[in-house]
Amino acid sequence: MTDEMLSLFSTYFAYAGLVVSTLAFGFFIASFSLSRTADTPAEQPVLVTAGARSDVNGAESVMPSLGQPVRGQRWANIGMSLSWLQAGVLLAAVVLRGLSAHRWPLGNMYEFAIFGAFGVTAAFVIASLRTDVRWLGVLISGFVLLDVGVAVMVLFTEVAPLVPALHSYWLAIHVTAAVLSTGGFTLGSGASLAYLAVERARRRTEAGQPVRFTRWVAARVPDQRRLDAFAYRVHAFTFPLWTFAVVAGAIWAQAAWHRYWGWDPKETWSFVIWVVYAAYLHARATAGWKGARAAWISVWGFIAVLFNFFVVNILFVGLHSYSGV
Amino acid sequence: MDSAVVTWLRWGWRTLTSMRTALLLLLLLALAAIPGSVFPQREIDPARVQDYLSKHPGVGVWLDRLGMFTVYRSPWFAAIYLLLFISLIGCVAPRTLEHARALRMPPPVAPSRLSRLPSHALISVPSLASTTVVATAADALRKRRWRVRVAPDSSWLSAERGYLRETGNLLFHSALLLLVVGVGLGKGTGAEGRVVIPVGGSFSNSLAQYDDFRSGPFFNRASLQPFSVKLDKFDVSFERKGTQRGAPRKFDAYLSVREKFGGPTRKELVQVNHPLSIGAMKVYLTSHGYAPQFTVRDKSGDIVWQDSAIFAPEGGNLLSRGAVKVPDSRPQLGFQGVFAPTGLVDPQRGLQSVFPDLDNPRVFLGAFSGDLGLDEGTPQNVFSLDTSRMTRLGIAPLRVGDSWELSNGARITFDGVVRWASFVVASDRTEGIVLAGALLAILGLLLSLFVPRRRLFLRPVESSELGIRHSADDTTNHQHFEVAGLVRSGADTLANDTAELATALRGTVVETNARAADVPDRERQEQT
Repeated sequence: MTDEMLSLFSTYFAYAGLVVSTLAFGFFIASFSLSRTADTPAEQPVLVTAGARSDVNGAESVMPSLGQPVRGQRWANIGMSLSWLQAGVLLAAVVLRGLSAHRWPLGNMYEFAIFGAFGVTAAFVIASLRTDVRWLGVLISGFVLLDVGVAVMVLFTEVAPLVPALHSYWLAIHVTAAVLSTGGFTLGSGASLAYLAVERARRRTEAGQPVRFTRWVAARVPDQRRLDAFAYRVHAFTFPLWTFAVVAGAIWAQAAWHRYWGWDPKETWSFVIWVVYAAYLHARATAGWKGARAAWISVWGFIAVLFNFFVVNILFVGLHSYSGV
Repeated sequence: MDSAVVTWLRWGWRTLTSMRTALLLLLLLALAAIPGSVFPQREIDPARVQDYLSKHPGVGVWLDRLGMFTVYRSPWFAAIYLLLFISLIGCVAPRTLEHARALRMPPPVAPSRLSRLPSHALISVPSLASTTVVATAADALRKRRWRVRVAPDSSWLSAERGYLRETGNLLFHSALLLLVVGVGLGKGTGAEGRVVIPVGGSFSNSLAQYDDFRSGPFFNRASLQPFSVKLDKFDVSFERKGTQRGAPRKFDAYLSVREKFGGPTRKELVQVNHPLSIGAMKVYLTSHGYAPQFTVRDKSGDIVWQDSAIFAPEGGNLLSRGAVKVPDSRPQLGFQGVFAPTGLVDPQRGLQSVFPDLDNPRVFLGAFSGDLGLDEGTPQNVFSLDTSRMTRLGIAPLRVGDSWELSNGARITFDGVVRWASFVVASDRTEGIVLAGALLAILGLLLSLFVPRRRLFLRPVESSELGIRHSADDTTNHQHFEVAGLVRSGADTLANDTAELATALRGTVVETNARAADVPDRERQEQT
């Protein structure tokens, strides 16, 4: 096959990823909306206090997929199968892109976004082998849908060789680690967001204020203890990986730009992200910061991750100007 | 000292070294780093700072006073990270002592009622003397790198492992200190100079030859190695097709290097990601541009200037600006020029460049005569003329080979173009320390996040006591042991630990409340 054909097929697979993630998103949403059996008990005041004492095992989850079969579960399973397909399709888009360009497919923002969508999906389906993460499906497929959509509509760049500054094996190491950490941070912040929704539902119920959306969400995700544990575990995996990505970047910068650290905007934001997630890990072990505050820090960390990708790459003047946009 | 002062100092130290303070300082550090990415920074791009100041004269002055253009050298940024590191030392030092003590201490005495611990299990073992079983268990656990303590009468066993978690935690924080010290020492003892070499030109490593040289206060200037390099060839290519037309594809600088005066010459290829090492110094290829070559003759036809003039490139298509200063003609002559490697004349904007390679090199020159102002000793910008004491003679577009006769009879010829490459010559003697700090930090982080620290206890159970809980079905020729565990920090692996112990004792787990994998860590004192 010629390089042009490979590149064309890669683009087709990216579009297929868009279609599959849309379908998966639809099924996950359907599963959420159809979980009537789980919704009904949540109307009762007794179960609203579920998660009120998040450290107590007795605060069992009213999550539909944890035990009692409900209608929504089948839809979530279809969503899960589609997520596997999504991972395969996006992997094909990444691999074909690399074959077409004769290099590691991480040379511009389009390739980063597609690789990132694959990374998030892969992290999600791999996590699903170990524990039930179907409740995260809406957030993950929604994120991938947006990411791939922006990639093919806005960021698309023709396959081209790299500028000399990127002629280094560190490209594969540094950028791959950065992409995979982005995937991990997405999963982790998804869990933290769910945690905060449950927290809000609990607080407002306790205060006698009306809760609609957050209680609806709270009835469909695991209890706070599990959400917190999941978020922590994902972050504990991702933080060292991000540290490695930053260190690898510094080693590369020493060879390419004659200094390992120079406060280039991208470096600055990588540092900010690193510090925020370090704060998250500390917060989880600090009295008064456990729980909701720690979850907020992880959400802020993810906002910094998104900012670092979209805003810093496109708007800020610096050395990491390979967006191709 | 006054006791109130001591109390205050003690309170201050406790507050500073508390985790809550460290956490707030971390968040503050993240916040404080952000302005440096928003505003241009003097260390990175002083020209952009000047540009910002002239565009925003009112706000700019205030931002400057607040240190927004020198964020990473500003006192407030330094204050945050210094406090953070003091807090870190104040936390890590006592914990190191505590950990060293814990490493020498045997595990604690097993609690008397193991069934009260959060996870416990009952193991049934083929009947043997209970001392033998306890001894077997101790051996098995020691083999699995548990630290084991057995009661003198073998009535209980207590084991602990996962000390590496705290070791890793302390290693991580100490490695960060090492890294920061390494960076600081590097700034103090390092040096870096910039030099522009046109193709065919050469450079010897002495301070006078640098265009710009910066060094830390402890850099030993005598340690500059006397090497010299000559730029033999500079291979450049650009993308010619598609949307990325004009993007650089290759920068290969071929150098002849002489490590010491009169020494042998070796050939080296320097690329963007492949610097050249000469002893402790490294030579990096950083940028490139064009140097048009001119010959200037006075009105009697004698050559008064003949050289290539380094022009400074702007933008992706390398439209370049520069000046030629001819101090030896009477009166002095000066030329200010714009050079385009692939020139196109735009009626409004003058000479433009449409491609970065030398497809159609053109230059627009403005000629001036008078006083160049070179004799005053004030440093001048080499890329522009000070025309305040000069009169303008005219302007002319030239192609390679063209000559232009000025109104005063002098003549300038555009002979051709050579490329130049700019190099950074840097000496950083502490990069190894910094790298070691970073790698040790990652190692420490992995240990501190993934090694679970837990305790395991074992006690034989009296059959009478057992009878209360169990019908005496298989208790006749089996001995029962109660196993309990406590996760101090990290993942809960007790179900696994119990099963492993049962297997080692050739017994079976009769009942358990230890939960597998899904249960989160119960952290006591996670990070510093």
